[in-house]
Amino acid sequence: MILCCRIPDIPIAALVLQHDDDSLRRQPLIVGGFPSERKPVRAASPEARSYGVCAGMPLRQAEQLCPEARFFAVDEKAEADLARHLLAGLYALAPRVELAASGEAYVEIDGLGDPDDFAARVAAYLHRRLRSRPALGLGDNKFVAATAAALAAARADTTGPAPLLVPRGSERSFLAPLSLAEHLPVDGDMITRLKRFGLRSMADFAAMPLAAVEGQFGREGLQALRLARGEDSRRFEPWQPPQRMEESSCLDPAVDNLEPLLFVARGLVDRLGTRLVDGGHAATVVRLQVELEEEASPAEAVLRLRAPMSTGGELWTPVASLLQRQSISRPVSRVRLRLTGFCPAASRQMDLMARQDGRLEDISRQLMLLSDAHGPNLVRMAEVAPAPSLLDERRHRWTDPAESLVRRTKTGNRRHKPAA
Amino acid sequence: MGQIQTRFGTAALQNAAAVVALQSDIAPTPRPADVSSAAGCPTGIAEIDDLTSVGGLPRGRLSLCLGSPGAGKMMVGYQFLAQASQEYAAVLALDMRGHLDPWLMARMGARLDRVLVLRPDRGAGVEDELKTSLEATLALLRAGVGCVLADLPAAWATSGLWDPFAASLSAACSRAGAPMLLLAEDVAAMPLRYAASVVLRLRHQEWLLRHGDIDGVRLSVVVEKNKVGMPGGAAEFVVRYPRGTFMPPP
Repeated sequence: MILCCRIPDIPIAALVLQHDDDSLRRQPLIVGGFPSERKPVRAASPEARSYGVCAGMPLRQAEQLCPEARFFAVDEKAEADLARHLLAGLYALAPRVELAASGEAYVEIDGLGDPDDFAARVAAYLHRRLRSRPALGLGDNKFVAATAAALAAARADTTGPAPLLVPRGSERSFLAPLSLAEHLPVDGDMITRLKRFGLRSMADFAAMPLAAVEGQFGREGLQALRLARGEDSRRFEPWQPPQRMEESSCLDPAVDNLEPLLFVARGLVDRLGTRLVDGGHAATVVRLQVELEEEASPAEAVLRLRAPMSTGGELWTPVASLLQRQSISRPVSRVRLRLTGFCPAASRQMDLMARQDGRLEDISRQLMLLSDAHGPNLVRMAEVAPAPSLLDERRHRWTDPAESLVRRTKTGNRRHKPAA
Repeated sequence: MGQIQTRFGTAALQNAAAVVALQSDIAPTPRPADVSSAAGCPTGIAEIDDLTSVGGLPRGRLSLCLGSPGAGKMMVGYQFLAQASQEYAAVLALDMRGHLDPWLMARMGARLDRVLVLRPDRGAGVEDELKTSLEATLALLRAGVGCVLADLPAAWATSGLWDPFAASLSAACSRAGAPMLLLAEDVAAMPLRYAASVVLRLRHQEWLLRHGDIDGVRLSVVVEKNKVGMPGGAAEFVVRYPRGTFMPPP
C-alpha cells in the first residue's frame, strides 16, 4: 500500500517559511521573478490561482490577471532545503519514501500498522512542518494513490482534506467514473484523440482491448490503458538520506600543540577507516572541525578528495595535511572528523604473485607528489622501444611512472570490497 | 669483542656449540639467534645467495657491494633487480651516474613495468642531488616500493650526508621489509658501512671470450661483513652477457 501526499506548492511553502510571516498565507503569491522580467511563473499560491494564474505563464500576464499579487524571485536553495527536510521527516516515519518532481511524496506503508493511523501521523507531521494540511491518498500503487490524493484535495472542507483510502482490489472501480482529461497523465493530443473515439471516462478507456489501443496509440497508449485499469508498473524509487560518518574526541585539558592533535586525529581516522571497511564504503569529502577554547564557533575545513578513499591508511595523509594547515591560535578542546560523499568502495583484484601489489596506489600517489615537488624527470619508468635500434639511447623510452602504475591498477579487475 | 662485532657483524663471533653444529651434517645451517628472522631476497646469483647464509640479500636491511670500476658491480645489481622485479610489484633503481641501461636490464630478465628509475637532476651539486635522491627514496620506501638498488659514484659514496641518511634508510627498509643494495667503489662512507648488514667485495677475475667476443665475466666475491650469517666467505661466479637479437615481449 502506498500513501501519496500532495504537498502544497513547495516554492510557495519555502517562501512562507523563509519569511516566517503567516500573513503571506492569505495573500496571492507568485514565485518566479518580477513582472518586468521575461520569465515564467514557477508557482502560484491558491489565492493567485483563483485569479487564473498558473505555473508556466509569463510573469507579465500573471500581473495582468492578478494585479494585487506579490511577486518573489526563485530561491532554489530554500526549495531544495525544504524538500530535503520533508523527505528526511517522512523517512523518519517510514523507510521507503519518494519525492516526485510534481510535488507529490510517496510513502510505502506496508507493515507500518493501520493505514489510516499512519496517514494521520503523516498529516500531522506535514501540518506541523508546513502549517497547512496536505491531501493524502492511499492506494495499491502510485497512480491510484496520487489520484486518490487529488480527489481528497478536491473534496477538502474547512478543516482540510481527509485522507482517501482506495481498498486493495477496488482500484478499477474507483477509477472508473473519473474523467480521462482530468486524471489520466497523458498529453493533450492523446486526450483529444480519445475524445474523438468517444472515450471520456476511465471506465470507457479501460474497457478497450489492449491490441486496439496499442494499434492506435502505441506503447504510450498501452501504458495509459494500464493506468486506467488501476495497474501502475512504475517502480518505487526510494530516497536515500545522505549518509555521514563522524568521530570526535574531547580534549581535556585543551591541547595547544600539533603533535598530540595529530595523535588524536590518527585515532579518529582509524576508527572511521574501520567503519568504512565494515560498510564497504568509500568517502570523497572530509570535514575537519576544531573547537577552540573561548571561541564560540569552531574552525572548520573541508577537503574534497581526488579519489574515493576507503581505509584509514588512505585517509590519514589528507587528514594530517588538513590538520597541519589549520592555524590554531588557542588551545583545542575538541576535534571532530566527518566523512560524507559516500560511494561503494572498490578495489582491484591484486596480483597475488607480486609482493606489495596492494601498495601501488600509495606508490603512484607518492610519485605524483615527487613529480610536483621535483619535476617529472626525477623518477621515470622505462619501456623497451618497439623497434630495436643500434643506438643505446633509442632502445628504450621513458614514461611517466605514476601514469603507468595508475594504468596498471585500472586495467586490473576491479571489484567491490566485501564488507568485513 | 664489541669492535669485532661492529666491524664484521654480530655473527663474526659465535660460541663453540654453534661451530660444532655448523660442522655437523645433521644440524641445519647455523644462524645466530638474533638474526634468524632475517629472510633473504635472492640475488639471482647462487654463489652470493649461499655466502650470505639467508638465501640472498637480507630483507629489511642495507647491503653494500664494493668494487673498483669495472669489477662487475652493475651486473650483480642488474641480476638482483631482475630477480626482485619478478617478485615485487614495484622496485626502485637509483641511477646516480645516469648510466643505467634499461634495455640491458630487460634482457637480463627485469620487468621494466615494475622498475622505477630515480635519476636526479644533474648540475645541482653532489650534496643537493644526493639529498633529493635519498629523500625521494625514503618517501618511496615508505609508500611501499619493494626493493632498492643504488649505484653510487665515488663522491656520493663518501658524502657526509650519509651520517643522518644511512640510519633513516635502514629504518625505512626495516619497516618496509625491503632489501636495499648499494653499489659503491672501493671506499664507502663509514656510516654506510656501519649501517650495512652485508658488505660484499667484488673483484674482476677474467673476461670470458667466445669466438673472440666477450661473452661474460668471471668475478670473485668476498663477504667482508655479515650481520645475518658467517662473514669471510668467498666464492667465484660467472655472469654471462646477454647476446642475440632481443625482441620486447608483446
